[in-house]
Amino acid sequence: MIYYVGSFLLIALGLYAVIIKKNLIKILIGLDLIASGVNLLIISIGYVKGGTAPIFSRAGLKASMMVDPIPQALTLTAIVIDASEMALAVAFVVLLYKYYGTLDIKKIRSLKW
Amino acid sequence: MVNIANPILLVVIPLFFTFLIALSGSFLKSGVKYLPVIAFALNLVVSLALIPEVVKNGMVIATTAGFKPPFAIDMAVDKLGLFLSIIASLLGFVASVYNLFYIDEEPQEKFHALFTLLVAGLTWMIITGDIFNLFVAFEVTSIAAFGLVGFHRDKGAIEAGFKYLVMGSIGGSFLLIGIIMLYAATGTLNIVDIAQKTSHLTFQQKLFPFAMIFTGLGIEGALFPLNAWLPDAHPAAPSSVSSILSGIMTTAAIYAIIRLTNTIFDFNQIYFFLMIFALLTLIFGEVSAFFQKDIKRMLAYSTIGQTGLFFFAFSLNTVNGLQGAFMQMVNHSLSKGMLFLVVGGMIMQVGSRNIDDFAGLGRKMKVSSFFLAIGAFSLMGLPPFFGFWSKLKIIFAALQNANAFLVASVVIILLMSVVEGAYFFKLLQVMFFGKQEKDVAVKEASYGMLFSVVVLGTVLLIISFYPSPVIDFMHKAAAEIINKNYITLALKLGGL
Amino acid sequence: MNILLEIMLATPFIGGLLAFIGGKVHRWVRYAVAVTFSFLTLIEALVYYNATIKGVVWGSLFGSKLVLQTNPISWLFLFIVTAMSFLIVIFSIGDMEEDKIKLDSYYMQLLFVEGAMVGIVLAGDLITFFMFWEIMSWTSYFLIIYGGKKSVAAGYKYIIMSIIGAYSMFIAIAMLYVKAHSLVYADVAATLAHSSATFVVWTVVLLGIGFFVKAAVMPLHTWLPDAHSEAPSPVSPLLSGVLIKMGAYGLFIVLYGFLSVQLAGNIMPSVFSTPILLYIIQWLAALSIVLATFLAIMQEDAKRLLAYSSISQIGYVVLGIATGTSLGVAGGLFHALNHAIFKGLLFLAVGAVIYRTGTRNLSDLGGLVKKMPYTFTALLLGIIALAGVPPLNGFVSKWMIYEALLQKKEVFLLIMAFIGSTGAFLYVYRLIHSIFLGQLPKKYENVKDVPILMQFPIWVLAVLTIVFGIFPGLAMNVIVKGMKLFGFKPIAYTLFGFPQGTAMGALKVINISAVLVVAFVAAWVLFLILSKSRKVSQYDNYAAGQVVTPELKYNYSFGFYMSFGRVIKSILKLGIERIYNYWVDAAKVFGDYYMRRVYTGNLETYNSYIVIVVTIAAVAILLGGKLW
Repeated sequence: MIYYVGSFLLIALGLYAVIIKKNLIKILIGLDLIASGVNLLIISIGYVKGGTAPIFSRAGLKASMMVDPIPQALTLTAIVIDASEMALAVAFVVLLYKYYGTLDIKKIRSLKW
Repeated sequence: MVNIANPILLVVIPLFFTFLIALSGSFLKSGVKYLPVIAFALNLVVSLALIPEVVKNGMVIATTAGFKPPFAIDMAVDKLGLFLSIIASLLGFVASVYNLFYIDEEPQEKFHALFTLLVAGLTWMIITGDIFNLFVAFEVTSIAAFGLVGFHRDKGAIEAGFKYLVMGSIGGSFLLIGIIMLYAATGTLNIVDIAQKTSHLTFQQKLFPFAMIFTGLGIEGALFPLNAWLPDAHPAAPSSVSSILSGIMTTAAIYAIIRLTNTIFDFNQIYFFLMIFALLTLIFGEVSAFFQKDIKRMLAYSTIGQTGLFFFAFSLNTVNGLQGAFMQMVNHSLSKGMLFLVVGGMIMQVGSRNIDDFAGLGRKMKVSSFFLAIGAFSLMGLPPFFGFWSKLKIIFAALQNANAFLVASVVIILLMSVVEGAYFFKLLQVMFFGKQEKDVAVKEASYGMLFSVVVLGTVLLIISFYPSPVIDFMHKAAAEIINKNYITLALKLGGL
Repeated sequence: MNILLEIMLATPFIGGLLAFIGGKVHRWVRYAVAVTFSFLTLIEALVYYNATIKGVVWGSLFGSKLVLQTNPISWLFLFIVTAMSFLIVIFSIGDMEEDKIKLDSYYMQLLFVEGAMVGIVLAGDLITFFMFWEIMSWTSYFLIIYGGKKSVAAGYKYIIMSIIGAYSMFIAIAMLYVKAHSLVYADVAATLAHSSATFVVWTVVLLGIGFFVKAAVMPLHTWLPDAHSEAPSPVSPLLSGVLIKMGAYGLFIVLYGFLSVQLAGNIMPSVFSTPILLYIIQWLAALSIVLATFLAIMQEDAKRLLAYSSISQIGYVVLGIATGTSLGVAGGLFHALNHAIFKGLLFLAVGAVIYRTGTRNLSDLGGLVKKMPYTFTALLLGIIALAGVPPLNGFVSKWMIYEALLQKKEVFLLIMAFIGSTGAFLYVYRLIHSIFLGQLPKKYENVKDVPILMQFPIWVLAVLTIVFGIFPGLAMNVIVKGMKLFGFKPIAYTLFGFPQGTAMGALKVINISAVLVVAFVAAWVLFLILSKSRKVSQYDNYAAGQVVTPELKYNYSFGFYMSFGRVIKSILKLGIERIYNYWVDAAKVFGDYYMRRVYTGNLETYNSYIVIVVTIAAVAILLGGKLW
């Protein structure tokens, strides 16, 4: 249960950062928080208390004693996606800083209406 | 004899070419730009080869990795998916031909790789039968799109790209939450398998993942108020990319919503809310488009409006409504894709995106302007173009079981069509009858670019003057979705 | 034989495309193709004289059959469309010059408009009707904006109002479709016969708005004066003479093809033995007649004057059709034909003047009678017809409408119709005087009459005004036969008019004409005998004690009816257009400052939109899927 609460708190924190924070870097941190929260959520869904890794490494191991492997695979995929997204985002931020000379998102609004 | 009617090829071919382009870019140099053309030509062949199979069996299912679903990832192409993947391949092919003449900015190999990846992701999103794959395809598409929007690397492009990225990745996260919630509730990721297991869930249990998925896909699918990235991103992207973004991407996202809503979340209570979303999208899109000075921005807002229109038709939740939605999707994909390509060529010649600078182009770029007029007419829903038939269908469907709210929404739709007519006719009259003040040497776009436009325009004209096959096909597709044939067919063909 | 209907429908479209392609070869190829194909259409139309063909199915859509049909009433309009188009194509060859405007697609659009109108009159179901209606709207839009800079704004107004009207029709069509799943005319009529009064009224009103926009019945007329006056000279007669008749045709089909007077009378209260819906239409038409006449009187621009006159004359057509009696409806339909002829004639004659002088400002013109005698004669015939003076064609149809109103004892409407007719004298006099009489400005001293290609259509129409004036039976033949199909009692007629003892009362145009001619001759003779006047040169005049030199012309054609204008000023101030503009501006401001500003350009705002949506969803989930 605590994992669920934790992950949703992380997501909420990330959303807070994305909405309230003016700094581009902080917005990116917010995005990453959301992503981490989601990843934590996925993992905790597949978690079985006291379970082991889903590998038949020793005799007598039953499937019920293992954690669900699929969420872990999903998380790996999601992490890869997040990483690439974040790399792209940082590249954007660098260029934005070059053009606008600021990291304040309030000032970066040449496109509107 | 290899059976080419295999949906997996639709994804594998462009993915393969993506890596090929990325790897061979350093030594093939400018020759790399021909690779996407080959990739999408192959894709087009494959998707056309799927037609007889789909017509015969109703659906084609391909599995990977030698397991049976739900343990393996599967690709399922039914009638609707087939149609959209044909259009995606066609637009991809046409736009990549266009790119040969359009993109001369470096780094070319990266552009072409991302472009191929974009269309690959979209096709993947359309044909996947696995909900997590949907997420992956969504993210692949998004990342490619983020990069392409910022491709020009000027001030506007970077800003648009960044905003799009932030919103898109939030959307991706929400989509993932929704998917994982479904997994938590059902323990499977296969769409058909989920659909069978969600029946015993309570409404609230289903509503939570639905809300998350809806938000996530709605961001990509340009639903108001989640669409704020779109009017920035579409104009900032190179025109061929705008054509794909506008033509297929929003359509694909809406397609995903339709598929999931109808197959997995089988509830009726939600459609009223969807309708309100659709109407808001329509109103805000069309009204904003009316005030634009920038032609690509205008077209982008018009995309929002069109999305609202076919999302409205979908939210009617009847066979006729869905049929109208699909017809409008086809119409919008072809017309708007074509319009962006035409406009790209014009912007190249004029060197400006301001509508006033397009004055007098109707006399100088006759072929382009002609097809622009056709695309605009089809979007406005003027006969004898395809948009007329789809608008007819949508309005007929909306009044089918009319209550006061539906009548009011029909009035709103038609009012917004008037607004749409107002800005498109403004554009046309500037183009055909305006006087060019600046003396710029404008000539017709190059033959390669015209080729792309003419191909799309011809397809549009063919289905305009001979609409009955498309209409019938769409009717069957809509009936299958409403009647949940997707599930039974998939079960029969081993899609589970 | 029936396949010919489809061929006839296709002919103008094929001709348009061929004219476009042929124009790339040589301009004379283009002209030849345009003339040939418009003539072919006319011939094909003549084949169907008085024929009735029901239900040639040419396709189906959404389970409703697409049908072509024809009957004598359709044929009447078909004749108007094809004949006028043919003449206008010929006139265009003379008038539209290659070096002035690019003519690449002019003839294509001209023929497309013709084809669309042929489609409208041949349509046997509402989808076909609506489809060609929309095609007509946008093709004619492109014709209107051929006229240059000012016409673009006029065309814009035209197309927007057309779209609004069309969508109003669209809702009605969709309502009917949903109810019956078939839009063939007979099925529509059957549906309406079994529907509630509310449904019928809504359907008719919504369809009527569409027709009234096109027919420019007040208060939906505001596009017409601009569009008709700014369009190129050959296009104006097409718009005024033919295109607005489509609205009248549609009204006829709806009122008598779908509904009928009896049915309408059953479901709604009647006033003056007219169902109230028809009565309201009559009043709108009568208001159109009077107000548009006043407005026409005040115009300084020849084509604008004629445009307002068109609103007024179409008012007669609609008034006649809305009376609901055999006589009135026949009068209305006959007037549609007559108006097409004489208004086409007037617009072409004015077009000829514009062609030679380059202006349509009445106060700049004058004294052209010696320079353009043929045009003068034609225009004279036209205005006599328009004013409704025997023996020309406007007389009989107007007389029939008066008679119908009289028989229904609708005195107010009758008075309004009379006012319109009297007012017509004022403006047509103004027209011919300011252009042809008075003193000739020096710059026009070298003006010649127009080339034969332009004179030919003018003369054909001039002859037709006389033919239909003296032989109203020619037209009545078609109209009465057609109206029988729509359940009207046939009215007796002869070739020269109406026999004694019928609904109409005796009317023989030839006798009236003879009397008129005799009276005219007598007056002339008296004038000659009694005249004590001396011959005065036109330039021998003076003003306020000061002799006016020939250079400084004393031309009182500006502000001709100023004092009359003062009298009716309060009426003219009504300004329907201003009301529309006010609402459009208000909507624009609302859209601009309140709606599109949600896209603030601020990423935080955008993100909070997402959060808002999620929050709403969360609330919905917590409330168990219900927000209210």
